[in-house]
Amino acid sequence: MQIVGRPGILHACTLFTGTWLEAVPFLLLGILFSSIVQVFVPDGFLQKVFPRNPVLGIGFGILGGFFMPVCDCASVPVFRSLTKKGIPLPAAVAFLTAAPIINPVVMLSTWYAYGGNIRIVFARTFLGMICSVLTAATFTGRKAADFITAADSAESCGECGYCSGTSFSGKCAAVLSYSREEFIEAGSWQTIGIAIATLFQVLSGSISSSFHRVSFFSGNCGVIFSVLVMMILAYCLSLCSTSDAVICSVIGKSFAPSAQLAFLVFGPMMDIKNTILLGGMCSPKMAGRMAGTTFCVCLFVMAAFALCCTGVKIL
Amino acid sequence: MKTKKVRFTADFIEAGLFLWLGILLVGIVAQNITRFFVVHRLKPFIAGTGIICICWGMQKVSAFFSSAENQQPQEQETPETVYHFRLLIFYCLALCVSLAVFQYRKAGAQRNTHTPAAKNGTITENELNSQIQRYPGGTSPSGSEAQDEAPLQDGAGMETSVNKIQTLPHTLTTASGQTLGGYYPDEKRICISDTEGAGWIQEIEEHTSLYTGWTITMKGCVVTDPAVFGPGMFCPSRELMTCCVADLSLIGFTCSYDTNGPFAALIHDGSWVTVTGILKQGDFQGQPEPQIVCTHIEKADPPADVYLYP
Repeated sequence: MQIVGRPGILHACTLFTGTWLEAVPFLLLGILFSSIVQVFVPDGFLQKVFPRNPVLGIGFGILGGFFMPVCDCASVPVFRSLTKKGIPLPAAVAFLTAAPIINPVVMLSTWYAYGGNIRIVFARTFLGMICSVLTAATFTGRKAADFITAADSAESCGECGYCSGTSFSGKCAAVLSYSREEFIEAGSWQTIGIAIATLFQVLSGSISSSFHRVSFFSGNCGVIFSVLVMMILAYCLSLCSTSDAVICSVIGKSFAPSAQLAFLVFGPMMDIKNTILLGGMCSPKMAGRMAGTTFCVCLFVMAAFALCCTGVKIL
Repeated sequence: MKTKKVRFTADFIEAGLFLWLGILLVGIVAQNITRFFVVHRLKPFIAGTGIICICWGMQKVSAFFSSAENQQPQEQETPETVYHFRLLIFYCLALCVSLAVFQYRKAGAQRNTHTPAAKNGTITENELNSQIQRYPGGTSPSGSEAQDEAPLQDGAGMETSVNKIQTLPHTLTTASGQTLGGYYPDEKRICISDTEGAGWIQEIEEHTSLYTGWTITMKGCVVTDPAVFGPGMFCPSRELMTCCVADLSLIGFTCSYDTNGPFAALIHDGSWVTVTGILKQGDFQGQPEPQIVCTHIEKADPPADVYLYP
């Protein structure tokens, strides 16, 4: 109460610092992982071992997301690293969109938030996978170079000097150097994203008041509109995927289960800070394409779920 | 030549930036200032980030003293303006974090000095019980351990679920494995301590019928939003931090009190109170919810840690 109610620049600084402290360790984890991939994995290795079949590739991307228990901040650097190493774009997109939803940490936090309700965990994971597969499928036949800035695409890999060292200690030092540069680049974009998300939060009052307003706004409208409003709210609030379930379960009780699921599925896939991070690290074209596609796919899937599964007990 | 000099200066600034950030992050973890911004489970991650920032700074510093041949792999050529722009953003970030940390370092020190109940970051159960003994409807926790280990009974005399096995006196183990203190089943009373509000509120909301008629004692910050609550209603609320300070949400039970009674003067927005009352199944905006009918309200100090953590 004391902190939230405090107006002015200190309140904004507090929100900004909190969000940054929460997000930066996971961004760093993703950067370290992508640096290790960049330095230690030989060029062409992933291209050789990765399945050529697009369906299998997307499946592998989603499986990779399951085994990387990180939130959305960490998946963007890893996504770029994978595309640099020549992983097909649809598979990398599947990883990018699935990792923040279907990993064990997010599943456990959802289970905990909804008091051990396993149905909502399954629903979130299953719908997240469907949205991820459909989003990835829209990139079939496209190359990374079409969407990712030329200097960062696979063709330029091997020319930066990081991969050329042979000794283990040299490679470790290279990981440190590479991760530092990545951190300056990704961190600056993430900082801008967090600043914008903070500005939205400061202007809207607090998360509770945002939910109350949205609840009032969508109270008399249909469930599809409710789904749409919750997706927009998820995008603007830019919550961490490991904590959004708790917030949704506490504040979003007045919403239909399908609207709550829309919040839980779309939020981790795309939000303000992710869009800016993706735009900075890959290209504005990639950020726009991803934001538009995931929004349309999620809206379609969640609306279909809301209409077709009215009798299914989720909560 | 000029470009090289500019780049050297920027490298020097970059080294300083990482050392500053690293020391700042490790420092706020060491002094437990992180609790004002993020949940406790993130502390090791923040400390790790700080250590890596220090390593980056040291690496950059060591590069100044190494010969050209021993330099690290040639870095990607980033345009100077872009590079400086990124550094500028990081400096703004470091300044903002420093400002917030400095403010809360002062606030934390003041709170720890002036709050009498700020021992180990919580009000102890005994302190709470000494207050409760004076309350109408509340009795001292005189139940023996033998009584406490008996099967738990709800208000209607039914045995509770098997997963709620008492392992310690006055504690309850919930379905999710959380152990909550201040549990007196023989007296049908729950004393919610400063740190266990989130667990108890979730437990009572999930099993309201089980606890209907019980005496609940809890502390909270008064919220009397007329748009939300009717006359004679308020919420002794706590802020739940799920992950960071940006996701704070207010939680608590709706309470009813006598607006002409002796406690009415204590109910104003932002004041801290300890509420004792009887739990009932109520209704809020068409949804069933547990509510408390207040029997006693007392002014209270803010808790050592204003936030609750799940």
